[in-house]
Amino acid sequence: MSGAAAAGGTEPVLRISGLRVAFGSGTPVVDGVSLSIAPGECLALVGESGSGKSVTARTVLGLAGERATVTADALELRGRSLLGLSDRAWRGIRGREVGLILQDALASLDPLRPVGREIADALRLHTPLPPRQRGDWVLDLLRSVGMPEPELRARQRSGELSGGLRQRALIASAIALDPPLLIADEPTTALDTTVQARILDLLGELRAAGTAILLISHDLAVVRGIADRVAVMAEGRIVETGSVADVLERPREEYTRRLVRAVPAGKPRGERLSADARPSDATDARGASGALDTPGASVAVSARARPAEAAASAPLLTGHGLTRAFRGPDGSRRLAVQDASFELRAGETLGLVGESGSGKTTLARLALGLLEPDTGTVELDGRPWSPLPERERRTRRSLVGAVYQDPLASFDPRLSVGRILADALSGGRHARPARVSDELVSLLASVGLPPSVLARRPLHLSGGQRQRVAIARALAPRPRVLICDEPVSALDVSVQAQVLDLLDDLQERLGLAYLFISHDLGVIGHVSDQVAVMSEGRIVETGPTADVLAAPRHPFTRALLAAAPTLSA
Amino acid sequence: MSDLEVSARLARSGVERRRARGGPGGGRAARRLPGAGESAAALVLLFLIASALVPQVVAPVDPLAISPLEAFRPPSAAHPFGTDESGRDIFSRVVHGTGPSLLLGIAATLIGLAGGVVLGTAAGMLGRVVDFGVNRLLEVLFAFPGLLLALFFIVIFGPGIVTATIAVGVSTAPGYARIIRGQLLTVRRSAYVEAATVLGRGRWRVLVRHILPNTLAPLFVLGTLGVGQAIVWAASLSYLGLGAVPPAAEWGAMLAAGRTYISTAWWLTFFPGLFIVLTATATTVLGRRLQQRVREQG
Repeated sequence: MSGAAAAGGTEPVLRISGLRVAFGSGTPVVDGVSLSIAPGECLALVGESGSGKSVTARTVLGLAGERATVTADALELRGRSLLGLSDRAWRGIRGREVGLILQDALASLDPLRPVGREIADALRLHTPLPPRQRGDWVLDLLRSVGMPEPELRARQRSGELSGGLRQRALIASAIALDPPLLIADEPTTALDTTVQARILDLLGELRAAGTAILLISHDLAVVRGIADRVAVMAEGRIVETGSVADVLERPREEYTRRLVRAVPAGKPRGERLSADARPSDATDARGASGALDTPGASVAVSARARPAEAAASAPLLTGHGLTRAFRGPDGSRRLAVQDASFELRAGETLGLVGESGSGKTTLARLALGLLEPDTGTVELDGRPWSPLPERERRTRRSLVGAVYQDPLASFDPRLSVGRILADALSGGRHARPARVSDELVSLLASVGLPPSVLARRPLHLSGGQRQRVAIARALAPRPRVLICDEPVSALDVSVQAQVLDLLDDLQERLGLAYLFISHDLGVIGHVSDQVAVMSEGRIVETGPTADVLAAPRHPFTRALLAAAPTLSA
Repeated sequence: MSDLEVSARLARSGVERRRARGGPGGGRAARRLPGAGESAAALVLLFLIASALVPQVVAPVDPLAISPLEAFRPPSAAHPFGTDESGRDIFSRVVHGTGPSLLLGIAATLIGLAGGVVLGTAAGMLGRVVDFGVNRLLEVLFAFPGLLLALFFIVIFGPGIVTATIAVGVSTAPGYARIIRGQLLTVRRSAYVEAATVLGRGRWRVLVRHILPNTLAPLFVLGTLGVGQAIVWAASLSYLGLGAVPPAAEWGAMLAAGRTYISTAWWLTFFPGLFIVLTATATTVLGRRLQQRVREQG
């Protein structure tokens, strides 16, 4: 708790009091925010998207936007007021006094210039150093952020670097002038778990060296690992603030409690994450639950096949020794999936976890019959699936549904929610609208959406609503298997909690089998009965979730577990 | 055509940008009121359509009536646009020329679109060999300026208003074909086409229900932009004496006829020229507006 100690004596690096930011004549996006950060302290600003976190951070950089009206009782950086500064004065502050690290390093670095030159820019603008010394300084900076082979990397463009190295380069440019305050806006959201851990370590080192950090994140587990204090934001206000341990372990406000409860990491299978009523209750009340209950489903209702029972039943979807290669841009063959086997039984969730590029999505596409394996076979319901021509597969397609990471892209942009679902329900034939509409309403109810969304386009729905529509579409043909490829990765923690709960409810009610893909070990640990860990195209470890998480055998699984941030201290 | 390609790309990237931004706020921007330029363009277009449909109401004077005594009169109250070398009323001739000119522009654009759809769809859907063939053909066609292609066509089939229309249509087709092919390839790889496959939809159904509509919708807008260009090209052909033949009241032919007197009687060429410019501008302004709306609605 170096931060708490420092806060006692020294003057804060950043002091904000009564900050209000409004766009145009609308209601303020940030409404009366007060906070302060001491040197060597990390304050985390958490909250759902749209809560005003990023606008607050941007205001400190004078980047709230031209249409923003900023007022505050105090907005001070090291005792100097930032209110009403000219553009010129702001330029003197950005980079020199405040460094900024954004989520998307690819978008933040000029794709056409070597990263070394990009970092040197800050030095060129703010210091009188001659070019040669600038080059040395850049190399020092790259070394200090742990960039391997800095001489080589400095000459590469951002597109040639991996996500983690790119983020390091971005951090190097942010700390080039050793600013006393660093703003990190979702700095690790786009990164793999093990890379994230390294970037967080790096931020921790900077903090230890005396840099104040304003961390913006929706990931409470990340916050837990690095921040000293937390400020929880909702609807433009700070609803709760305090030390990390206090806020996350003993939240006082209902809103904070909801956020903490929504984190799936470390929660056992079946434990509810959101405060939502079970949609099944809601639909029973309306007497419309019949839509999805297949004739034999009464057995499955509220009696999820427990792992023991599941093991007894025959597998629904199996992969035997699947291998699939792709040709790289240089003509070389690259094995995306190598000798992968899996078994998925009714009512069971198989969690597939691994880093980006490990072959998870390729395996999902093989299972969906969208790709043919080079060797090996996929069997669906005991009958061959992968070696068939699409024409023969089509009659059994209704058995398998898919839910994607980006639901919006998976909807025809011209169609309304009603037409998307009607099309899915009708099995591709032109159905009579009247008969369909009852089914549509109950289908929507089963995913917890009101009938009013039928007329709307997915574009105008929120991220969580879109994913619910995608799940409804996948359920329409009454599948027995759902393949979910990163279904919650693009969602806020609280929305993620609702979607995970929904999937759990549906599984219990309909006896569905899920192949659930995620890079997030916390999510996988919560949703899966069985887990398969993928690395470089191979399934390196598989087994019951509890066993794998408690006693990982493969070094990669161990590394993944060690890197995954958790809420418990 | 490159202008159209840029527009197509803009239209597409606009949709993507909005998708990226997402959120419920998306619909608001579409409710913007039309600006002064768009209103003026709409008025011009209304006048042109009226002129095309009922020219005798807009300009009651016979466009072909000769009165040698009134030749070369500058614009006046009796003859708002003046008279030509045979004393024919230029206002009346310009108004009566609207029908053929617009028809020519629209017909040529439709021909171009039809050709583009056939070539582009073939390239995008029928596999690598066809794609390769169509692409090489398009590259050859692109090597010639569009107007040269039209001239070539007329040299083979002889001048006249029908051949001019077809010639302009044919010479715009390669551009449309390229755009359609690119759009098709994007749409074919899109997640929603994959989602339809996962739902068990057949190839044909996916093509008709998802791929074609999403490919052709942006094209409708491009077509509107193309009409103005087609009119200019058709007028150019007539000006060269390869389209409509005098004494027909067609704008390009009128320009050609007035060319001889340009130093003494400017109104002979000015007013037909003005109408060509106005038509092309009005369709372009409205086309862009349409494009923007499509972009905003995603």
